[in-house]
Amino acid sequence: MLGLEVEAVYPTVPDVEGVVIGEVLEVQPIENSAHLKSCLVDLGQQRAQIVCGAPNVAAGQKVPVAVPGAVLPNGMKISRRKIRGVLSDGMICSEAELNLSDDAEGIMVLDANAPVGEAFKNYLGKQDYVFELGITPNRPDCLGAIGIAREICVSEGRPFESPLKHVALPPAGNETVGVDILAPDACPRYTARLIRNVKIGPSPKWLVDRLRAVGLRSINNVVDVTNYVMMETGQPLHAFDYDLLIGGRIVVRTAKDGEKFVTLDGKEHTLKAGNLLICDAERAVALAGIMGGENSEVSENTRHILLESAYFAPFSIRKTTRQLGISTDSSRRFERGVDPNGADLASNRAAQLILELAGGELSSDLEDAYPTPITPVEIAFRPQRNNRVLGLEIAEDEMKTILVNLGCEVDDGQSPWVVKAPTYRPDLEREIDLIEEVARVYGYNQIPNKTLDSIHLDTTANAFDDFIDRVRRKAAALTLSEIVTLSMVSRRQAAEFSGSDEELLTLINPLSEDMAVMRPSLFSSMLNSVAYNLNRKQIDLRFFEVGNVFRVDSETRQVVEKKAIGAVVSGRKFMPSWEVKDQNINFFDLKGIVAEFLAQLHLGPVQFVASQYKFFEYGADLLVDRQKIGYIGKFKQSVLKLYDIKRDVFGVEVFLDDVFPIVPSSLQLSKISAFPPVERDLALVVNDDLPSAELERIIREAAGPLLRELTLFDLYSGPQVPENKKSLAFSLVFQADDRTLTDEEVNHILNQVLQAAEAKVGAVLRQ
Amino acid sequence: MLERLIEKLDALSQDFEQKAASVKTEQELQALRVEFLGKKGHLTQFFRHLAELPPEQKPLLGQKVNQLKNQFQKRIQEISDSLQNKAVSAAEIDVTLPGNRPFAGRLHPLMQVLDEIKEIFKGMGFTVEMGPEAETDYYNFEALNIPKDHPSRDLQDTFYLAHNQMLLRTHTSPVQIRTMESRKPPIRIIAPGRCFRNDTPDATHSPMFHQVEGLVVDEGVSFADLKGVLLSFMQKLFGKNTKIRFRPSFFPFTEPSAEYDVSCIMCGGKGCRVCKDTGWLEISGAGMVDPAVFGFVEYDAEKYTGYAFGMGVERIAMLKYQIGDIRMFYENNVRFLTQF
Ligand SMILES: [Zn+2]
Repeated sequence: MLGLEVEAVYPTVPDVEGVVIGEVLEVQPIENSAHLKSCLVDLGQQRAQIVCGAPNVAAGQKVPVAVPGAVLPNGMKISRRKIRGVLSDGMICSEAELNLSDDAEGIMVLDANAPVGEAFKNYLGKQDYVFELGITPNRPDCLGAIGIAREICVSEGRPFESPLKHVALPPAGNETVGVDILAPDACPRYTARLIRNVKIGPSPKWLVDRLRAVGLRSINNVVDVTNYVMMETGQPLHAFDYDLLIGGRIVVRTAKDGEKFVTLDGKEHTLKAGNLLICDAERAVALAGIMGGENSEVSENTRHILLESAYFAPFSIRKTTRQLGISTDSSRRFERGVDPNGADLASNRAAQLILELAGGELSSDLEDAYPTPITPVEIAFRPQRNNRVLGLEIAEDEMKTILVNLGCEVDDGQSPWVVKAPTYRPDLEREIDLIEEVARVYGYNQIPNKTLDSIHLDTTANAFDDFIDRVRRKAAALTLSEIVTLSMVSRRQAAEFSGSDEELLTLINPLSEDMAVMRPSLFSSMLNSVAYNLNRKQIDLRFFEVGNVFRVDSETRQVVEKKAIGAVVSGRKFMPSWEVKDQNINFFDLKGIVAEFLAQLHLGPVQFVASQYKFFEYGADLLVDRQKIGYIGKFKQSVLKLYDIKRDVFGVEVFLDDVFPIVPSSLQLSKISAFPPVERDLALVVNDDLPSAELERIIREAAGPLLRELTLFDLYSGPQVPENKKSLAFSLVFQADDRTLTDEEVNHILNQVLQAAEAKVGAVLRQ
Repeated sequence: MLERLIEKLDALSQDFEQKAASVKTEQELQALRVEFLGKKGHLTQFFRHLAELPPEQKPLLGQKVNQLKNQFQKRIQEISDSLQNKAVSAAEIDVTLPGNRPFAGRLHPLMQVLDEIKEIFKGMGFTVEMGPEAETDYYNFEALNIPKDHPSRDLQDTFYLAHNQMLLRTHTSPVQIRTMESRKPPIRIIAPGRCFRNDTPDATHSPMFHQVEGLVVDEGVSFADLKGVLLSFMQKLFGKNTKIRFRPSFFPFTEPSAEYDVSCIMCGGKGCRVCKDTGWLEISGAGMVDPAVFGFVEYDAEKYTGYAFGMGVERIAMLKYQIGDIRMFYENNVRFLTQF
């Protein structure tokens, strides 16, 4: 429970029952095949003929052979079979097939002295387990085994001493290596040491196995040691072929803009000014802290090596890896911060192992260029503050032990304490950082659970959020179902609903073309859900969504983000029924829902004014007090085609940011009259292009306040009215608050209505 | 003449009884009433004949007609009573025929879970805050103590926008900063909303998701308060036996930082398929607000302390409803939506 998350545990020895060590005796090409070969393999007890397609198979190799009956870790069953007419009695395996690595390029070639006929799993050694840990970016000290060991000791309350302090080296010769640091900000410390007369060769099996366990390939003994020590200590190291360093010296400088450099993976990089380089007397030989150069790489011909162990500043390495787009095990560690005061110890450890595995002698002492040593940070620490922040009582002794075990020097003789944080913990800079350490080691789960002891009466409660929730519930009550769609849509979809392309808010790094632009309208993404369901033969769709829509204002170039509610409907008017005739939902059904929705928000009269939209076949603006709050209409076929929708779809979008401010905060109730209402019908014949809302407006105006309800109940055009005319039949309800209306009064009002309608739009009473 | 009329009356009576026997509805009954007792009804005709009779015969016929009238009225009343009390037979009305269902609107499962989360926090005195989804680098990273070159930005795969160097918020934490900028402690808020990360969609990842972040700042707020609030919340959401645990972690804007887990809601902690036999389900991160963050909003870090926590709405909804694929939330298949 220290924050070191075990992400996976796997065995170093996979289940390779039935795989034995064989020696390839002969390799012969197979007729009619470009790459298959027939191999004669000695398996100890017997010899087998095995067909192999690997490019690297050759006589004399020791190889892992899966014999018939074996089942490989990937589930593959091995049996005797004929390949191109040639009998094959098993399979020579690659590392990938044995689940040892991802390497599927060729077969795995074993040590020359691997015992033929023995079970391959014995060759792999004792069963061990690899723990894969997730290390948070603030803990570079845990990017090496020693750091992990320290954490485990701390968690058990034991002091920890690094084994690196006990590395003993033989006396060194008196040669010197020149080191010049021309960029001390980026490279505060550089150590080098010369080891002569090494013998480059393969690494011993224990080293190969351990590197493989952490996912590294063995290269040669010297390179393997640098990698191994990095995994032990967290300090990246690099070995140069000393003979290839012109002038036998090291210069640390920054690159010139446009300078070219070839790293040891053969790639040429064009450098930017400021990229840190390790150079010899004449040229760059390594991209500092990231990767060595091809020109100074250790090879089998190398005799003398220069071993680098340095501290490069995180900012410098991070900038270079970003600019060049490379990331290595080394750069990842420097970026997070290695221990500046551990460079020498890691170099000693690597030198010890090189002498042990590759021979040679130390020809120079450690050349340590460290112009301004980095000292531990001093932090003022108040034990009381610690307990206040954590909400518990930890004894001061206990705090001190925790900090000391972590490697801090603690002076508790003064108040506040002065705590020196170790340089391998660059994350410890402030008092709160130490409080976190105390909490972490003490155990988060030992901290009590306190419950709120006070309730704030907060008057800043978010009314807009409450309003949105109200709106969602109203929409659901009006038969619409809520959906959630992606805020990103394709450029083509977005363009249909946007004023211009410049108004689209575009992503620089979209996941795909389908998610390239922020939606300018909820329609643009909601129609995807309509299409999705129609494709599954689910045709009755009544959706709403509340979400943000985005555009870039064409004048200010500012991003405008608005909260909207959108609805799209398609399908039948009623749920399929044995009793009700099948009919499709139409514009007026949606309009009715919207009118009811807005009425429930008490916005006052809402006008629907015919308006043109590039995505609507026909549509209307929604106006409240001449302010546009949304729009409604029927989608054009051309728009629906983009979504592969072949049915009629209607949509409405209302901007909640605009509606919220005009929703009245309190209600004005109207009196309920105690006197009876009087109902009359009125059918008027008017020109067929007269909007019915216009006629309604005239009727209301002429009738005055006694008209309480006005409902259109019939619309007719046809032989019973003149050509280019239509008849609109209304039911009118009159009522007064203070008296019973007489027939004469009502007739008088109706007459006024008729006269006004005739005068203004030439309406005629239908006979 | 009298005899003929009486015969006629008898016939009328028979006719009435015959017709009355077949009446099944109120309408038919009304028709029967009109036919026999209406203004132009059969029986009314006899009152006219009455005038044509000699005076001594009048009482006899009158009596007979009145008797019949009473008889008809009584019968009609009986039928009417029985009609109003009648249980209609299955052959007439098949009540097992499907009803005409209205289309019913529903709330999205994700939003239902979010509503529940909001309700619980509101009950604990939290208010809800919102902020823009298209954010600036300052609010999304810098003011949260995540400077430009900070390695922890590697943890976030951010969508960048082509305007004014903006980006899509990767968490709702910018709302914390905006809230603290606009007012002084005490602060007790949650910030729910859409977040975006450049994650390739799969069963557990979506480039868009919903998060709820909480922030409490006041004098004397401690880690123990954070634990108490999250425990209360989780017990309200998942049941009173729910336990929580905290594991150390790292976030640039909190210190100490933690990941927190809840005891498995399926097995109660015994271990099952859902919790991969650990007994615990990972929820999200939490911690004490880093003093550096207070620096950005000009709060006195000596005077005030605070805690912050996050949770993924999708994650909780998936646990709650045992949904295996996050993409189902955004496909909006009606067969999925109508189950909630
Ligand atoms: Zn479980």
